[in-house]
Parts: sequence; C-alpha cells; structure tokens
Amino acid sequence: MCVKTKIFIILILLNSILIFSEVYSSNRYTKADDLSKVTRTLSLENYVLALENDYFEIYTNEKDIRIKNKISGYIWGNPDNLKGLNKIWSNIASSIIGIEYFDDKSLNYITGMESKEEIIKNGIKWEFYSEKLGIKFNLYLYLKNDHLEFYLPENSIIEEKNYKLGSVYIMPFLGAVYEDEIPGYILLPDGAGALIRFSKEKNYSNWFEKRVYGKDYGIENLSYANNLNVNRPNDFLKEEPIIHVPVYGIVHGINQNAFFTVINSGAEYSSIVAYPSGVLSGYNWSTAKFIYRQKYLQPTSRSGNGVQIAQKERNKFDARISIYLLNGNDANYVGMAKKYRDLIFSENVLNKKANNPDIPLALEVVLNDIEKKLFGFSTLQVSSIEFLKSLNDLNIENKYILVDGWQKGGAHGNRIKSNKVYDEEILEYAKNNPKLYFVNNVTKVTELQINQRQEAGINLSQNPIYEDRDNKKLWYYRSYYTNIELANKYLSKKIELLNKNEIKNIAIKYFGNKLYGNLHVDKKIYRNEAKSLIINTINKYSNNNLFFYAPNDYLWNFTKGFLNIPMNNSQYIYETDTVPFLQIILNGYIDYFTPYMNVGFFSRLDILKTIDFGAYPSFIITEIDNYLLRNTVLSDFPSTKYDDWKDTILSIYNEVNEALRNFRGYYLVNRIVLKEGVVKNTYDNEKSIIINYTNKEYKYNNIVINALSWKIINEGVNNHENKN
Amino acid sequence: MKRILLFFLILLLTIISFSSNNTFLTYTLSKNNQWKVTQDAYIVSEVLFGNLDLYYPQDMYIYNNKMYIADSGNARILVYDMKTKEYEEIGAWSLFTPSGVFVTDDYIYVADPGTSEVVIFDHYGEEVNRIGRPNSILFGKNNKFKPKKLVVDKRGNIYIVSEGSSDGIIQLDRNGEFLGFFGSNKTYMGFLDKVLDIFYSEEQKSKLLSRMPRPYNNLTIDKKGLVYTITRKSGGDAIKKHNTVGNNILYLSRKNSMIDEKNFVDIAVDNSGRIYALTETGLIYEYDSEGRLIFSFGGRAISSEMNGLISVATSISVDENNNLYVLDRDSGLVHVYTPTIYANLIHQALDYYVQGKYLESKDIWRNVLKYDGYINIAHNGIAKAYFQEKKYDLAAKHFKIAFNREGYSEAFWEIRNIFLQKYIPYILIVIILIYVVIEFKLIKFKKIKIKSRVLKDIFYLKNLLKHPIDSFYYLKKGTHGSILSATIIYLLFSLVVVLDYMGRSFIFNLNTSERSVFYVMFISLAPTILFVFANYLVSSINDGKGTLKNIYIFTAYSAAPYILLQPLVVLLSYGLSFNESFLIEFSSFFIISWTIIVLFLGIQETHHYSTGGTIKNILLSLLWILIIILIYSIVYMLWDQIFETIYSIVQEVLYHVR
Repeated sequence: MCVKTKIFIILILLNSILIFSEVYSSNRYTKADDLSKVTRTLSLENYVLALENDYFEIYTNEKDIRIKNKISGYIWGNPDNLKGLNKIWSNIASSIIGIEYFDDKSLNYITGMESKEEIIKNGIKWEFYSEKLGIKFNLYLYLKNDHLEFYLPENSIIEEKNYKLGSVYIMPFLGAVYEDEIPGYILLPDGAGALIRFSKEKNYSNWFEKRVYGKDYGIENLSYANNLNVNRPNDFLKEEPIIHVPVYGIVHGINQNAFFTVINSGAEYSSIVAYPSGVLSGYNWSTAKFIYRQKYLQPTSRSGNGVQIAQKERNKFDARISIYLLNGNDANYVGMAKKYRDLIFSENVLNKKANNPDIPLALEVVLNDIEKKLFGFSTLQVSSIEFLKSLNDLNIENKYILVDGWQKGGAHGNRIKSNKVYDEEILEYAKNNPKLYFVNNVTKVTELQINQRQEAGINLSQNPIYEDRDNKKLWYYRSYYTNIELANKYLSKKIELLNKNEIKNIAIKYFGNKLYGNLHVDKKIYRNEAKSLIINTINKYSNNNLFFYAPNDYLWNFTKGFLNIPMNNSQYIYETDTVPFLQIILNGYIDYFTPYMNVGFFSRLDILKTIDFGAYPSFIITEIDNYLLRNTVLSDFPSTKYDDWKDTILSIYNEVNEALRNFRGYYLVNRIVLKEGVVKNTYDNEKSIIINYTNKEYKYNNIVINALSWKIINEGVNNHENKN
Repeated sequence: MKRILLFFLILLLTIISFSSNNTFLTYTLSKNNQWKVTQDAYIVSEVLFGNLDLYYPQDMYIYNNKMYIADSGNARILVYDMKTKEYEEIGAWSLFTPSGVFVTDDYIYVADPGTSEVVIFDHYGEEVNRIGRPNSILFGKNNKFKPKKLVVDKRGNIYIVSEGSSDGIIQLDRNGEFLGFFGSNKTYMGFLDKVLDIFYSEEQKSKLLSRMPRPYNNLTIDKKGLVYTITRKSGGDAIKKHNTVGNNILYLSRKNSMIDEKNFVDIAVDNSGRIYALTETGLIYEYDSEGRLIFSFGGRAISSEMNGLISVATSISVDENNNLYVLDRDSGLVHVYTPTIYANLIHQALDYYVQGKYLESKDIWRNVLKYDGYINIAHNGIAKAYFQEKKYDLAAKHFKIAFNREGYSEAFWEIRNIFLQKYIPYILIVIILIYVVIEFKLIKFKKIKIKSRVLKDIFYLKNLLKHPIDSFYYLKKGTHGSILSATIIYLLFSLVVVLDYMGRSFIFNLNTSERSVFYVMFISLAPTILFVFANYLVSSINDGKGTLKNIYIFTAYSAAPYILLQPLVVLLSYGLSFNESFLIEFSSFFIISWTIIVLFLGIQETHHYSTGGTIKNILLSLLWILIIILIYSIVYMLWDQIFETIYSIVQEVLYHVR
C-alpha cells in the first residue's frame, strides 16, 4: 500500500470520527446526571405505623402502605393525588397489588383487588379476594433487617370460578413519578443495563416488558408479523439482549434516594415491566410481574393458523421479592449493582485477584464446519491445528483460544448425541495448552445435529420447539431447541469425554441463557425445574474451568469467563441511557468479554466503550478466506479471516490492555458522567480512568484528555465531584 | 362451543446473534445478486422530536443545517435548527395540510394539497406568493392540481408531483406559469394486456386503469439540478434520474435491472450522487450514482419502538456529512443514521470508482474487504483495479466472486490471449501431428467388439445421427433397442441436461439461481415421460401404429443429437469469452433443432403418419400434457384440503383431550 493511500485512509478514518460526533448522545451511552435535590416527599397523613425496625417504619391505611427510610427520612409509597389514570388503574396505583386475569374466552383484563389486612409477627398479611372473579390469594410483607420481603405463596392461590389468574404485580406504583416532578430514573437490567430518566409525557405506543432470563420457548410461540413487503429477505431484526438478572430499581434524586428490588423466587416466571411517562399515563413506573398463565398459540391447521389461548394449568411457584433501600452515594445504578454483587457472589467461590495484570483476550477459532455441495454437504476445514499453533505469533500471553467445530461434522453439523472428534490431534494439542477451551453447544442446533422427532424439546402446543429466521434462502434458517433433559445429558457426556482426555477448559454456548421447559403431555418439565436441572449439571462439573456465553445469573457462581456480554440495552426509544450495570456486578469477580469485535464492534467509540465497561476484547476468526466460507453457515459473519484482522486484534488488545491492566482484579466503585460523552470510572485501588467519547479534548483538573481517548488518573477514591 | 379466536400464523422468529450497535440488520449483495448480511453501515445516533408532538408529518427537507418539516396534521412547517437545537413555526395560519416542503436560498416552498396551492414563504416566515392551478390550456381541462411534493431548481422552476397525476411532473416557471409536463412514465403492456387488446374495443381500452401511466410518487433534485423520481412499482426502474428534457438517464434503471421495491415513498441524493430510497416499511436502500445497490438496512417498528425502526416512513433526507434522516409519520419522530467507517470507506472507494480511478480505489477496496469478505461491489471494484494493472488472473478471480460475467469474460479473453500467444506454435504442431496420424493411418486402431446387447443398443444412438429414418425402423422392429437401453438413455439424457445446465464455464453457466441437481433432473425427465404417456394416449386413438414400448424407446433415441453433441458445446464454453457467445448459442440452437427434427421423424416413422398427421399428433400430445397437469393439480388441491380438515379436527380433539 503506497503512503499516499495510507494517509488517505487515515484521513477517511479521521473524517468519520468527526462525523461520528453525535453518536455518543444516543441511548447506547450514558448521559450526565441531573443531581438536583428532591424536595418533595410523600405524606403520612391517614397512615398509621404498623411495623418498625432499625431501618424501616412501615405505615398502613388498610389498603396501601408507606415505607419510611429511617436513615434518610425519605418516604416511599404509591403517589399521592393521582392524576390522568382511569378508575381501574387508579385503584391499582393506590393499592399494593394489580392482577391480570383471563376469562373463559382467553381474553385478558387487568384489575385491582379488595383486601383484608392483618398485622402478624414482624409483618403484615393481606388476604386478597374478588367475589366477581372467584380468585383469592395471600400476600405477606416481612421486615427483614436491612430489607423488606413480599411473599405470595403458591398454595394460597384459589380460583373458584371460570376466571383464571394471569399475572400479579406487587406494589406496581411504588416510587412512581409523575412526568419529571422528581429527578431520577428507572434502572432496568435490559442487556448491559438501561435507564429511563423521568421526563415529560412523550408519545410512546409500547411499554417495556421483558421476561427475566429470556423467552420461555416451551410456551411462548407467539411473535409479531413483521412483513416488510419487499423482495429482500424479511429477516431484519438483530437479537435483543435479554434480562440476565431479576432486578430493577428506581432512583428519586440521584445520589439521594433509591430502592432496588430483587426477585428471590419465581424469577423464571417473571417479567420486568416499566411504563415511561406517556404510555399509559403521565406516570413513570416499574415493577416485577409474576406470570401465572400466559397465552400461547394452539395451532389448528398445518399452515400454522390457530387459536391464541391461555394456559390451562397455572405455573407453580412462590413469588418472593426483596426491596432494599439505598441512600446517598449508593442511590444510583452503581450502588444497585454493588448491592447485587454483594448478594449474589458467595465470597469463597471465586478468586478475586488475578496474578497476571495483563488482561485476557478471547479468540474463538472455528476448526471445521459443514459446506453445502452440489450433492448434500461435506465438512470443510476452516482452520487447521497448525493455524492454532501460529496464533502464538501474536505475542499475547494471556489469551484464551476457544475452539469450535472440533467435533465430527464441525460447528453446525455435529450430532450432539455422539461424541466424535473430527481430528484427534486437537485433543493432544490441548493437553499442552492450558489456555485452549472447547466450545460446546447442545442447545440451539440445526436439523442435522439432532433427530427432530425424538430429541427436540416439545412446547405446550405439542410441537417441536424451533425458531425460524425469516429468510428461507438461508441454508439452515431453522434452529431447533434440544429437549432440555437430553441437552443436560449430552453436555455431561461431552464434558466427561473432554475430562477423560485431561481437558478441563470448557466453553458452553446458549446453555446458560436459553431457559425453557419441555411440555410434552406425558412428561412435563417446567421452566423452574429446567433451571434446577441446568444448575445441577453444571454443579457436577464445577471443578472444570467453565466459560459461558452470556449466562444468566444462576450460573455465575460457576462461571470463570463471561463471553459475549451485552454492551447495549435493547435501544427502545424510551430508554434514555445504557449503563454497565451487568458489568459492574461482574467486575472484579468474573472476566467478561465483548461480543465478537470483528462483527460490527470495531469503531473507535466501540473500543472506548470496551474500556469504559471494563470488558475484554474477543474475536471470531477462521484461517481460510471469507469467500471460501460462502457455502457454509459461517458466512453469516461478514468477515472472519484472521490475516485481515491480525493487526486490528493486536492494536485493540494493546490499547484495552494498557487501560484496563491498571484495574484488573479490582472493583469498580464509582462511575460518573462528567459531561455528555465524558465518563469517569473509579476503582477500589483508588485509580480512575476518564474516557472521552467526544471529538473535543476535555480538561479535568488541569489534566487534558484528548478527543476520542482515555487517561488514567491517580487520586484518592474519596474525591467525588458529585457531592453537591 | 367455545368461541375461537383465529390468529394468523406467526412463527417464532429467531434472530441472528450479532450483538452489536444496531437493532436492525444491514444487507448488501453478494454472489449472484444474493442478499447477504453485512457489517453495520449506518448506526442510529439520535431520535429527534420526542417532545414536539408532530402530527402526521409528511415531508422533510434539510437546508443550511436547518430541518424543515411539513407537519401536516398541525398545518405548519416546523423549522429545526440542528446546531442550536431550537425550533420555530412557519405558516401556522395559512396552511391547511402541507405535505411537501423545499427550501432555496431565498424561499421556502410548500406544497399544500389541502388548498391545492403551492405556498411560498421567505426565510422570515412571511408569505410571499401562492400559486394555484395553472390556467394554461396545455395543462388540460380535467387535470387536477393537488401539489403533494415539490422541488425547485436553480432558475426557480418548480417541479411538482400532483396527486394522481399520470401525465408526469408539473413544471412551472418562477412566476407560476405552466411550462409543461416533465418525463411521464410509460405504460407497460404485459402479455395479458396484449391478449386483451385483441378482444377489446378502443373505448374499453381507454377505460382500463392499467393503461394509464403510473403517477410519480415523490421526487428530489441533486446539486446539478437533475430531478430524480420514484414510481410505486418494482421491476428495476422504480427510481429514475431525469435529464433536463425529462428522459431517464440512470443506466441500470434504463435497463430495468435496478434492485428496487414497489413501496418506495421517498428518495434523496447526496453530494456524490448516491441515491437513498426509503420504503414505507422503513427500509433504506442506498445506491451508487449508477444505480447499483450498496446497502439495504433499517426496518419496521410494529411491536417495538426501537432506534432505527420506523412505523410508517414518509420522508428521507441526507446532509453533507452523509447522515441520513428518516421521518416516521406515525410516531412523529426523526431517526438519524450516521455512517460507520465501513460505509465511509465504501463511499470513498466508490467516488474513485465512478471517476474511473480504479487504481486509486484499490487499497480502499481491500480495506473494505477486510470488513466484509463477500460484498460484490468491493470485489468488482478491486477486480477492475487488477484489470487495469494487467493482473488478469486476480481480476478474473474477483470478477468471478462478484458474479460479474462481462468483467470476467474480458479478463478471460486477456488470459486466453496471453496463453495463445505463448503456446500457439506448439498447439499448431500438435494439431498437424494428429491430422497426419489420422490421415495417413500411422497408428491402427483396433475395432473393439462389443458383446453386451445393452451396450450395443446404447451405442446404436450414433446411428440416429446419420440415418434417423432407418434407425427408427429397426428400433420399432426390435432389432435394436430395448426398455432397458431406453431407460439408460433417458438417464444419460438427464445427465447431459444437468451438464448443460450446470457444467458450462462460468461465463455461460445457466445455473444462476443454484438449483439442485435433482431438481434439474426432474425438470428434464418429467416432461419427457409425460410426453411418452400423452403420445401413447393420442396415438392409440389416432391410428398410431406404435405401442407404448415403441414410443418409450423411440423418444429416448430421438435425443441422440442432444446427448452426443451437447457435451461438446459444454466443453467449448470453457474456451470462449462473451464475444464469441453466438457460437454457443448457435450450436445449442442447432443441436436442439436437430433433436426436435429427429423426434418428429421418430413419431412419423413409428406411427406411420403423414407429415400433417405427425403435426396433429404432436399438438394433441401437448394438449394432453396440459390436461394431465391440470387434473393432477385439482386432485392435489382437493386432497390437500381434505387433509387440512382432518388435521384441524384431530388438533381440536387433541386439545380438548389433554
């Protein structure tokens, strides 16, 4: 390449950076906080004190409660003087429960309920009933030292008439804010983490509602038609990130008051719901929704037409949530993440501090895959073992090589039931390479990999569980989900095979975040049972080094590496910010890696975001030329050839390493947006890093941070600028 | 009975796991114009106007860092300053349903179909002029004037798309005088129309809606003053670029070979002449200045309002930095799409490419290929550069990947030329040697005696070439040929069809849609067998002398010219470039004609028909084939219905049992 063109390309890159200037103001980045003081608080008029401990005072008025934070004096509860709500919603917004129910035609309705209150030891018991619907259940509130617990036991639910309980919202309007009367936000664990800052009413037609731990494929076979009416393939949506942690929180006055809700039980059957102001009313509110029944499609014709009906049987679980109140500098999303980190990680399971300060790099290498041929298909060697050896030329010590397609049939053609290795040499090679990981997928597979009739999971409609990409021209546009029991069995077998060959490094795809039951009429495994099954299997092999691709939080105590961490929220237009909520929880405990950076995550801003979120780079690579992959399933990736990416891998790694090696093994303790596009992260080793996403240099206490760059600064951790 | 709610099938859709910055996928073309997912070309940076309550906005125009929005439902023009983020209103009291807006240095032009006027404001928001329906006789008595969209050129001429006007774009001068209609669409006559023409009277014809030229739907103007239009139809020319007389000068569009959609609603052109077209469903198609598709991206917001997804798209604009702005009528929002490094590289390379500076573009294309190894436009670009550098091998390789046959053929011609220049003496010597050997019988070939009857029967094929009539006689008599040999010949025939269809060199390969071998075999054999059967039915009631066995055998042997000679044509295709394609076409045509003549002779000979009788027999056979297909489809459909009904009942029962 001649010098002229090189300069030219650099100019283009620079030019694109200038054009990019506005990108950081999108909701994929965090905005500066409005730190104004909350002056108003709810009144306790007409409420009487019912319970009390060192932290809380609970007041009640028979229908509703108010929670007083004894440390700050701030009062939480449903909003006073409701406005703009209809009768049903006003009723819900001034009580502690809201339910959805189905009539015998599977039409669903929402309503509040009558209740009878009773003060019990260290708590309150409510008996909810509805004469009209014939639905009854009990709800308990317990004061537990530092938190409140709501508990709705499964065995208290009684349905006497034709109406069926659909779902239950517990304290839906707790902390609801009318428009922007109080500064603050709702934290949603959507992907990396999302904020909905309180604002004036805007025209939104949808609210946020997302299942914890992703969709339940065993029941949920509904989706929305998305016809584009074009000749191009209809397949246009990228995968939305899912909720990996069953929590949400609301902040009233940033760094002042917040509460943080954790779903302790029934998370598999819950959704996190949030209504930004403008959807239903002027109120911003958020809650956990427990789903006892949902609609599913019961097909009545071969073409798939059918009736949408509610589940006959109720999902069986105890609903239990804990509410924590946060004060002062913890009253923000960082405080919530830290709180959850303390709750979820048992101290001794994970070794916190790493010996090597250099950050790790993850390279996923596909060895073999199937290639479409004139007649049928054959296995194509995509990367050789020599190639694996040559990766040492990168001169990066701390790198994980994740090999996929090591089985007979390659990455998308291996029978998951069988345990055949394509080339035994890889096992030999692995023995001398402690950083080589074997990628396994027994969950989401092509029709080649399983016997669809016997090995695919069965949904409530009694059909195999599968998903289609809306592009029939793709070779394998359909993926099946393996019967969850078999998936566990096959995974055990695979791990045992590898263990037998002295291989303890295992990376597991999909298994950690696809949670679905198997609802065959004769043998039902429900979603919560599926979860226990998965945990048991993984627990059995917890002496292995296990990497998971974006696992849900129930596997985190077994996770040595978190691959493919979401770096954005779902980008709903009412979501105002992306925050590294998930990252802050994991930070210092589990190494987490970006999505494949060579697939749409390589821009300057993406690299800065990687540093900001404390993630480690990861790439998917192959040895051979891209166009040789054109007849394989791998051609879904625009570009994977190692030679093309080698320089980029090195430069990205070096830059991210230079920044993050300062903090390896330390916790993030504070994250502030100094100004739109400039973020300061502080870790518990008293060092900070300032990331400047903007195209102008930024001055921080006489330290200059260049445009589109970052700088480490050394100052005491107590140096908070956000103290007003 | 329970009331049953019927729902349309909605499959659970899986989604590609690209966890990157966009909510939607970006497509480009690879291989033979096949859609392929590529890296994000544009990412959404902002979503504007959440707090403005735009109501049914219809149009948007960006001028001098200001965005002008025809806020139709609120009867105003909203001016948004993109730098200061402030906004003001224009025409709040004088507009009715503004649906088009255009801005020049001096004026703001608004098309208002509600008042049937074009209203002109100055930049202070003062109304300057109103232009109503032209009085000119040329405009036509019955033509309506409902200005929907408009653009203005540098001389102040106004180009107006009027609602439902099929005469073309209304062109007015700066004073509002009617200058004429500009570039109307042509009517398209399909096969059905031509058939109907035979039966319809003149009066009936004039009433047919499909005979009216399609109206233009929207338009834009580039910095040179050329007008671009879109028409609601697909077929390769939905987008047109008009010269000053109104003729379409967009190369691919003239050839009807643009990749377009029938639901384009708006179009924008940037400073480099790249074209952006927007579908109603929120997809953006980006083309280079010659009409080649670069990207298609975006999507529709149905259940989820996300960045970059649009409910009902109405307008697209592009600013100097190539940021795209898309207006959503339903939500009243504007989504801003910012180009990524990847898109910027492609744009830069294309700028060179369009200027013919292939060499300069080469390194940039190579960089593009780093990001996407499949994208046609880059392979094509780099191939052109290699061609110019005289690296014909590499050029051919990349042309082939990009499925550019013309380009490949040119490179191939050069490669062949070099090869021939190098080896021509040797080749000549070899040819002379072979000639000498054969002519003077220097080597004696031993005649191989074939003992197997079947093999003999198969080799009998060659006799059909020299003496078809005699051979058919012997075939009928049973001296040669059998059911077995005929079956083998049918198989051979289908193999030759497969070879012909799939085995030709890249330049002449017919299998562009990548059909499977079995499909081609089926397509070759099924009509043949149908013919045998239909011919038997026809001839047995028409005094044909051939039995079913005879027909089976002679039909197989009739394919002799095709089976024996077509492989040579396939072989020949490897030595020829596009310039000599007539050789392939002509010889194929010759061989197929020969085959048909042999078949004709076969029917005549086997059934002892006269020429007229044979023709009648063939026509009747074809008719029978149609009838068989028809009956089969009817039975199939009925069967399908029965099956469907049973299935539904079983499902219903199962549901209640469970």
